[in-house]
Amino acid sequence: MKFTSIKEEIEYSKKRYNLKKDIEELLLDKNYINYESNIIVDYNLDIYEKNQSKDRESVKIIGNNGNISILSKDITTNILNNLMPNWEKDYSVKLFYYGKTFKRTNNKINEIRQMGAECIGVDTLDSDKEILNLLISIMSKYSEEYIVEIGTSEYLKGILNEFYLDEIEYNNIINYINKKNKEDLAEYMKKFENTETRKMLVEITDMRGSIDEVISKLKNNYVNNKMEKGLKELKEISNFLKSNDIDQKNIICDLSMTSSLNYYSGLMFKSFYKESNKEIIKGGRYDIDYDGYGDVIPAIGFSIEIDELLRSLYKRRKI
Amino acid sequence: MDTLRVALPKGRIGKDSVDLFNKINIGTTVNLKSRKLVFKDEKNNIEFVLLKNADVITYVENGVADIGVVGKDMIIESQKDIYELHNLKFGYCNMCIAGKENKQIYNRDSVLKVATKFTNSAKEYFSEKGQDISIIKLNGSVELAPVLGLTDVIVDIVETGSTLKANGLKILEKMYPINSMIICNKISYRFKYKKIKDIIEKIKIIEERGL
Repeated sequence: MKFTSIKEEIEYSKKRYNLKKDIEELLLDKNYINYESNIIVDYNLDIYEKNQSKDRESVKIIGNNGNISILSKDITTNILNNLMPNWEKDYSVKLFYYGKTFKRTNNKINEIRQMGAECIGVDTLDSDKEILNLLISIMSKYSEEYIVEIGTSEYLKGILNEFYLDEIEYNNIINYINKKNKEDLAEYMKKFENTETRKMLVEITDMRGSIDEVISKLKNNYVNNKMEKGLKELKEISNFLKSNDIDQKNIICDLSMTSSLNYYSGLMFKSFYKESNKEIIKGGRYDIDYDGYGDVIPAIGFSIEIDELLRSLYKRRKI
Repeated sequence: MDTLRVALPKGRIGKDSVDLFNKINIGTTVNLKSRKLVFKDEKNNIEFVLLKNADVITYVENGVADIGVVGKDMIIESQKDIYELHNLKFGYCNMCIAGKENKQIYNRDSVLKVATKFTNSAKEYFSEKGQDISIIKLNGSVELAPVLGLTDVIVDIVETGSTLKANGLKILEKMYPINSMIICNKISYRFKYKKIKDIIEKIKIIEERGL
């Protein structure tokens, strides 16, 4: 935000601190522990780089000795870089963080303030429910007009697996879905055999509505193991919302969520306020298959764009 | 219920868009002959704003307009973060590579000089084809560039090809077809989904019936 007076700027900083503290209290209350990760990360040690957004987005620093470091572009990744080498079987932890991330887009470096929560090593379904509940609590705390969008990476991955795509084909398809461009996707898919899965892929952007609506649209459709896993997760989430009397009017299921599809391994979510032109909270399940550890470690979390949240509160004069 | 704001470009695509919306009984209050830029359709709770073609995407991306009508050429060139919801049946033309007759486009041993307004589109296309290029951005009369020897070829929108012909140029390759599209802001898509979906469904029915 840009300010025209020192008073305004200091006031904004004070409000941002209070907002941060507000969310922090909510997380402390649920037994989350604060963890601070580094801002500068060794490029070679960035073990999750391959699963993350493209390398060209990272801001690199080259030292006098030629070593390359990057400015943190994802705090979760940094936390994992720090914790995984000493990880112990059956250990579990709930963490929260507050920090800055840096991303390069075109010729600009964007500095983004993020706060987030991560459940690492906690049983899959329990942590799905806990994180989702926490996300809804935060969103509903600041506005009644919000949308929490839920999806699962496994359903779309399951469909895509049926096509044996090369990298260019995969990227083209993801790009069409990402743009919700059903018609051009349908045209592009004509080069593949006309199967039930092709039809399902073309219609993926229509798989939107309440969780029950989406599941019922898919009734009688073909499913492979991966797709079934995804749908099972969604059914469990739907049951959880019902059994806890969580109002579902603000919760939308969308099976065409594509962002960082390869990074996620289950439940995915994004949340929005009407007044804001950006996502406020995003996250999902990213179970960790860390080299040298053996077992897959369950992990789920989300990050909150604090400045965007604050901007939306300013717009509504709620702060 | 919130008002839906629709951004339309001035000119022929704007006129075709208004005609189409009128067919589904929307935007009948829009008068393109007037000097006004904002028209309210009270009955349907929709507001139409008339903008310069290149600004439609900016208004939609920033959420000032919920949906808009714009050519695919602008969408590909601007690389903005918007949804592309429906291909309309007007605004047809082609993005083409044009130059003097028999000019060879692809040569691995040389760098092709390209004049264009559509620099991102040209870069992306030739990169996929594996051809090295050097781009000279021009803002108008692009056809002059190969004629006067500034570049080897041009990348531009071609409707009838008459301007090319008049300047002694030919289409060397059709890159991809262009048409107008309904685009949508990402947040509006979530909060006004039903209204936007309804409008597009009605438009599709009209188009299918060939009306």
